[in-house]
Amino acid sequence: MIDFRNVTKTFGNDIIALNEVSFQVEPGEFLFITGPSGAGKTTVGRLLIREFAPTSGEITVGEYDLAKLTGRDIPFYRRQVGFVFQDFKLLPDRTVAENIELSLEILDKTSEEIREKVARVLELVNLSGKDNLFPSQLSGGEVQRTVIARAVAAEPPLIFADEPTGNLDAETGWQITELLEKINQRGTTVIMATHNQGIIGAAKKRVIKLEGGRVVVDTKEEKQEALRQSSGQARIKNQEKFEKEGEKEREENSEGDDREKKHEKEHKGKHHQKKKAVEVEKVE
Amino acid sequence: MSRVLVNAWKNMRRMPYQTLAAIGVLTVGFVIAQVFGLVVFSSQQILTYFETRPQVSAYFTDQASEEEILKYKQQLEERDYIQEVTYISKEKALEIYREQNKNDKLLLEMVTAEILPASLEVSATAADQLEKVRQDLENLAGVEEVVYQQDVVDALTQWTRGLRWIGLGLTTVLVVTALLIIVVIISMKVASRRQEIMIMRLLGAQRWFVTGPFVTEGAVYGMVGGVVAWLLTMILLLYAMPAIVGFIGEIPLKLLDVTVLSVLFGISILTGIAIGVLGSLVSVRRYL
Repeated sequence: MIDFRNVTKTFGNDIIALNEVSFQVEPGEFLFITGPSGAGKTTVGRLLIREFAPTSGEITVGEYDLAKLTGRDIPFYRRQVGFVFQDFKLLPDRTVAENIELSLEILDKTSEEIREKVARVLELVNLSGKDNLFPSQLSGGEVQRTVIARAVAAEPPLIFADEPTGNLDAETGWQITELLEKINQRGTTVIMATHNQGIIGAAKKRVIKLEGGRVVVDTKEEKQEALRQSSGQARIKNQEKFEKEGEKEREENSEGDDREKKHEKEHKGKHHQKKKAVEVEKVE
Repeated sequence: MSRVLVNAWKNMRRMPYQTLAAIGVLTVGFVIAQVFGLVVFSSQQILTYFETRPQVSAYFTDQASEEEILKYKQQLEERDYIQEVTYISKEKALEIYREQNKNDKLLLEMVTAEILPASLEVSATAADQLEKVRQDLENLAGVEEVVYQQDVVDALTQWTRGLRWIGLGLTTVLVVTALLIIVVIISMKVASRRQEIMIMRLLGAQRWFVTGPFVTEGAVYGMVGGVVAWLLTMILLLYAMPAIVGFIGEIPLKLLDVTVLSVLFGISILTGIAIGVLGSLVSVRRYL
């Protein structure tokens, strides 16, 4: 789904944000991008929403070759990527519901569709009943959930979450990670940029580590094997479906409440494990 | 489209004073432009009135007898380029004078038939024959003065041309001012919502989704300004019409004609919308 080939991004003449970075991400995958501050995590995200073009190298996302996108194509491409911004980028003078509505208004959805989808994503992120509150009236975790709700409302095939746990306490950070996993289980590819090693260690997902703009670790092979073993046939089927039938099929998947409940059950054990990890982190 | 209108309405409601300022400036500009437009239109009508009435008047001295004048009348009527010759005797002239000044007793008391000259009013078949008629009349014995309509027409033409240029210059200045006001106000709004616009674009909003409400807002300012200005001009016109009719007398002016008013309304709205859209586009292109 995503293919970074020898991507370099420089700012000015001497700031190299990314240096010959290459990696591939499969549809339906959950990937952590980690590394210290200034390693290039956010630059990967900004390249992914085509905020700017790479200095050299190629990036393809699905059918889109980002280097060849014209100004006219960029808005349509951006709708394929739900971005969870590190600094939230919520509109302070709009309510939770209105902030989420914005991403659907852009898609020119009818008022009825918007109402229905907003209610559905609010339920997904566990913010039902807070739709009329303003961002300033929410807790840090709720603000982050709102940003995630806005990112998933348009049902994009890819979510890029830039340090979504950065400003949160460990417990809330876990809840956010779980939420992103839940979204991933519905078929959405999720890339989460974080430097929270506790979360990365417990989640047991593929990790790409950046340092000084270079990929120093990519656990792709081992994690794919683990993914196959832990998630079983149902998950692989889901990924194949996603590849073949695209967005329409994903929409159907998202409406399958029963499947969701099944996933929740599967992950209750996992949640228990993560809680333990949080406690360990707190002790540390 | 309805979403663009709703967002434009929200923009206007959020900053009501700027909205009022924009509409106010446009209204004042349009009222001045419309009044000037009507003045130029009226002077053109007055000019046409004189041009379509080819007439030369010859005023006789007191020494010229009525028989002589009537003989000249008969001679002139025989010429093929002369359409009509009317004899105005001293008594008839007094009658006309009294009719014209019936409301001013002082003017009536001072004038008698004796001091008014007898005259011949000669209409030509066409305006280009007036010069020939003038020469004929000047050659008659006992003629004190020949009043040639062409002089009036020339003076009016000059005035109309002057008014047209002044109107054009003033309208240009007002249009440019209105345009700049729209640019400034919309730019302020764009600047104050820069964060929101940036978020919209990152979420995949097309250009029109972002710019549409601003352009619509500009168009609404222009349209409302145009309509309000038209209404004010109508009120002014209805108020001033009796005075205008009293001043220009028998010349028919089509100022309250439905077609004229409809055209003025149409031009006003279209110009308003054009200025609003253009102003918004300039600011939106500059800041986005």
